[in-house]
Amino acid sequence: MSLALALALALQPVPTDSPPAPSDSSTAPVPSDSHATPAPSDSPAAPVPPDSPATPAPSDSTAAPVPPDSPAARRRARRTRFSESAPFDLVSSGARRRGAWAAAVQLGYPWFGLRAQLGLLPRLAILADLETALAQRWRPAIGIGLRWVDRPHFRLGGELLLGWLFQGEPLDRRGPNAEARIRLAVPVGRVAPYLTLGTQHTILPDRTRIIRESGTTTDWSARHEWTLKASLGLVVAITQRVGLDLGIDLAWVGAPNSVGIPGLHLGVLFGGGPRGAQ
Amino acid sequence: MHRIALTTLALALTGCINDDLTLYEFELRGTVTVAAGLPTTGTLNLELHHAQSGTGRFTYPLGQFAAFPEIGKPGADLDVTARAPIDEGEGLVVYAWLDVDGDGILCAPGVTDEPAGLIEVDEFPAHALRFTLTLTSPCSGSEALYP
Repeated sequence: MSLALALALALQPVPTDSPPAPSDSSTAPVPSDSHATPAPSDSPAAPVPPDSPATPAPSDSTAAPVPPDSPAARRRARRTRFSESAPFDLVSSGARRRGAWAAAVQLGYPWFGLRAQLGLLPRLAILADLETALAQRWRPAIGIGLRWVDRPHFRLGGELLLGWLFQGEPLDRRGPNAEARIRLAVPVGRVAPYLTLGTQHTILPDRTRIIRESGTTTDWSARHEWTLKASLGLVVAITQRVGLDLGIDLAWVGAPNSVGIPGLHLGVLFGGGPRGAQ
Repeated sequence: MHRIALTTLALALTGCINDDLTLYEFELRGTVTVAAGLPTTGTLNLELHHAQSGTGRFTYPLGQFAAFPEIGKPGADLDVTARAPIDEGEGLVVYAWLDVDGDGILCAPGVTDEPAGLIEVDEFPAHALRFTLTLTSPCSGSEALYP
């Protein structure tokens, strides 16, 4: 039911709060995705594309136009300035623009991770992910991320990853792995609280060889390992391209016949490519 | 080119296998008798052990891999087929005890004469083995009798 709702939202036309970015966005103090907030009068005016709405009404604002140099307009500009930043892209799934890339290094206990993504289309990104638990359990994976809902203050997206699990002795775990994730982020100003929920499935093949007098036979069988993961955290955008991530994790490896182990992580997020205001 | 393909295949298979169990199947025939002076009524319980289990510095005596409860009477011909996980240990030890009171437990308060014994089968590994075992030690577990 929720998936259908998310798909319906994703198939909606791009909201009016996302006009094309001006070509020299570095001179614009207000990002192009910031609800078309007019630029303050004491700064150079950003060029307005001719096909963009002349005075677009922000979807989450009141109908009355806001004077460009009013405190309310400045507050709104501050609140949405980093909504296209690379750190927020990473915790939101998908990418705002084609060619926008972002990466993260996550250190924590017990989970470490590397992650990178590249925007293929608006809202759609390919991604690579490497996670490990104390260097004992490794899972490299590649996949796609799609942003279903893309509002300045609300991001909802999903990811699908395919990879391989390697876990050494004494508890060997090896086999193909698939993971589905949902990411929810609420960017406000420089910070974005986020929630990530994931379900991970691994097929574990076993081999049994029987040496009989008549010869040796080999039988294959497979087991399934289910892992549930959740992360709750906060991303702080230092600049449009760099940010920090602090969060708590809960990983339930081998659910439901095991115990979930909590952890925490600190990450550095960075990125580049075409974005809004820099 | 052939070697690269084989190496790739080997690596893929190695990276795919979790529990890799190799079982050695064999047929064990023999008789179990009871030493004079001990009870001879009841049913026999048979256990098969590795003589040594584990690898490297972590080897230890015995290691049960098969059990055949209520397999027969003393003096009868026994014939069992078993599979030994040969990567988990070495050697073969046959342990048996006689359940005199029929409770399924070796001895108990008030029952102190259930005979037990074991023998190491030196011919293992072989697919056909024979043994003869005499139970001489009342109420002794396998770990008390070996090595």
